[in-house]
Amino acid sequence: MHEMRAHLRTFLSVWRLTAAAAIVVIAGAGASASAAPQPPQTTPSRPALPRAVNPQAAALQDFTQRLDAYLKLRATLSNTLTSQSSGSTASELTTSQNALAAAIIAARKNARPGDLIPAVVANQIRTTVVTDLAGRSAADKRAAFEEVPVGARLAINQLYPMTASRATVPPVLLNNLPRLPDNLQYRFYDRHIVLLDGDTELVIDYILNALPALAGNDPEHH
Amino acid sequence: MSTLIRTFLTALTLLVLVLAPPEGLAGDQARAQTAAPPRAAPAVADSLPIDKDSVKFAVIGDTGTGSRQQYEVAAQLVAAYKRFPFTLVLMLGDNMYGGEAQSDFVKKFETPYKPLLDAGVKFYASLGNHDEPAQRFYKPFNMDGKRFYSVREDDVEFFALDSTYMSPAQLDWLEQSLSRSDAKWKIPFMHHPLYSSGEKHGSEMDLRQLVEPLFVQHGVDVVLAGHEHFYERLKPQKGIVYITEGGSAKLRASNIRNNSAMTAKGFDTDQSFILVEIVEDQLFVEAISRRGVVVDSVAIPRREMVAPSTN
Repeated sequence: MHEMRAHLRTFLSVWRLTAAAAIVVIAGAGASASAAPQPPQTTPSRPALPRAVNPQAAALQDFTQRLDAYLKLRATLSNTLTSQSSGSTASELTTSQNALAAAIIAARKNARPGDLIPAVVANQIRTTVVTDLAGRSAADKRAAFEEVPVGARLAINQLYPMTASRATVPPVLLNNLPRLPDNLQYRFYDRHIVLLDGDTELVIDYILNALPALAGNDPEHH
Repeated sequence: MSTLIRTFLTALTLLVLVLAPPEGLAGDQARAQTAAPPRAAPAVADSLPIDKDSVKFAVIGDTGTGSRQQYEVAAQLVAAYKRFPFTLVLMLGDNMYGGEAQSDFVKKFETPYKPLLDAGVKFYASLGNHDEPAQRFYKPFNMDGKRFYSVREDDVEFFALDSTYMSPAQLDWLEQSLSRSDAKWKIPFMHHPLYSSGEKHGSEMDLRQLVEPLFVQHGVDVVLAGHEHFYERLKPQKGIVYITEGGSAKLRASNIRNNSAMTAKGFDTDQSFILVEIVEDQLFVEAISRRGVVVDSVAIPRREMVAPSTN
């Protein structure tokens, strides 16, 4: 994995320029924001919502639409690249994964925190996490944060940092969070919750300080 | 007349002794019986039926180190294949520790298991917490690009789960797949164990809370997991036998809690792997150490379906 990341970083430097140029052509009008500094290009224009709609439900629907738009963009980019397939060798896997990551980075170079997770949904996630952790034993909490990466700077479009192993989000908590398409994932990252593209390992959005300070993830303890 | 009755009773007694299941098999606690203490190899033929029509497979877990120990276990696996021609190998995750470059796949997978790959044995992998999800596209792992999937072999259906990220979508898939399956034997396999006597990790309680009810409801008999770097067969839990095999390259020596009430048989002093044979309603398990010693041998009867599918 570490070698793959090293390859990726080198690869990205070359790809950023070429992919950025390609994206303008590929995404066309739908992804025109790739060439503009704002707004987030994965957020579709949305019609005004009826007044009677439950705000929470509306926010979740908005969240779903934003994720759908992201997946649509990714599918468009993926279709232009050599696709991963079950016939891939290990080296082909690395190449295609890196190429897709680079294309997504170029297409979302202006993405900001909150572009995909609306504020209302972010607050709902915070509440769900705090409630879940409050009901766990100290040992259980420690286990939940055992392999969570800490200390590194967090940014959209960065690769999720790989420690020796991959941290597991407690399945019961996962089951209570707003549902994601299966190739997008929630992950813990220090005291933050990250929305991860599971195919490329890219951070595509995050919620800062959503996790309570515990011995396992409190910077003061490191 | 009395002689006739005595003769009849004697014959009846003999018949009962011959036909009766081994002691205690009716009870939940005794569904899995340890057949014999460890004995020297070769012993594969002693306890596995090696029936020509049976489903035969091997199980390895936490393999991807590229270490001498992995190669030695692999050599035992290859030796076992010559006597016990299994058609597939289940991998219980942590298939690649550290790097995942082309050279890593060669060193940590393709080379040690080359004789089996060359013989056409199919490997089916599940993802562990050290594995890149991109492994699902690696053809020799036969995951067909999926983090979770099932594969059928005669009357046996295997369900590979990604226990590192047990998403609602995966749970839905599992419930539907178990519900739809008409296989006599349903065998989920994954990385994290629902039950474990390991001091390092122990049971995955969260996972258990979500997944175990599905296993119980849909007639699962045996569940395989890795993560803990040793071999452990647990006493049946809610009718299901859980087996951990996370010691096919790494070893966490003396890590099984001594007084664990859950352990039916544990082995944490050397690396190991498992051979499994399914003949009709019996599943035979044999755990073999890196030195070729049989460290556990057991026959597990299939239980009746607990609840018919309502989907």
